[in-house]
Amino acid sequence: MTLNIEKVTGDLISAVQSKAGQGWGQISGFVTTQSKMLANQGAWITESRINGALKTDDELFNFFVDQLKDSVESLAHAVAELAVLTIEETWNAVVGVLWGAINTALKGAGLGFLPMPSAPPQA
Amino acid sequence: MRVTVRPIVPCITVILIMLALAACTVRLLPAYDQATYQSLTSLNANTLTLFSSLSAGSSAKEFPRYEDQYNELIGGFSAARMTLANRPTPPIGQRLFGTDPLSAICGKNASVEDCLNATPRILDQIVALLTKMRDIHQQRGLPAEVVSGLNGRGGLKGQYQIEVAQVLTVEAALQR
Repeated sequence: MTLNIEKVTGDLISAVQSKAGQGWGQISGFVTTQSKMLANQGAWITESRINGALKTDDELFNFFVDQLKDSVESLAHAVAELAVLTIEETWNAVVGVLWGAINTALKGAGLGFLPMPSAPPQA
Repeated sequence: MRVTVRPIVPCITVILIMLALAACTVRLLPAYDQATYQSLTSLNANTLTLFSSLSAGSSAKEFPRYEDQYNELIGGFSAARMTLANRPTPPIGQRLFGTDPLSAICGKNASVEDCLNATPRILDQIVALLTKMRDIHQQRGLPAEVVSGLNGRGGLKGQYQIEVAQVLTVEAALQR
């Protein structure tokens, strides 16, 4: 039994498109929602500082500004975590397809399994 | 004997393949914690209930009525923070953290925990926000605008919603 390169290539492309697409869709949706929320919060802080509850309350104004700044940093960290998760899922999907095909062919030839790689190559 | 052994062989082969595939998947991020995630969703519901109760503002005199709710929420989010901060980041993920693209997203001053286990830091922000809200309520009362903002945006509620959305999105994604 030989490895069907055309089929495996197609399966690999599908796996990458599916996992990377899902990951990108999730990150994109999350960033869009968060951006709107951050913009709304920034708009309120500005409005309130000009003519609202924060106009004469420096301490509370500074508290809200610091919280907003921290949320922008946290958003970057959350996006990084979701991006790494996409890498993880894409890697696992690709390795699963490729090593699955190789091991199916080896099994058909009555040979042993090829151990799967345990980690992506280091950058 | 042959009749009973033959069907078993392919079954064992399939199980071995499945084990080989399952055992060798890569983990770059901390594990999902179902109990803590459920606790966070419950805390979120209770926090939104508190915001709803206080949406019209509340005087310092009324504070004792809400004191226990504040303390339960602050304690609950603090406990979740402690649990999630103790999750180890897999060594491969830590190596990945040293790469340029990830450093560029997270910033030079971010630690590996900040970047690949973001939730504890965001929970710190939530605890700080609820503590501030409790203290203002106790000392001088909460104006409606400080609780809910203006025209349905901003205030303590607006800030809380940004933070809790980050937490729940990341933690739900870790369920894989």
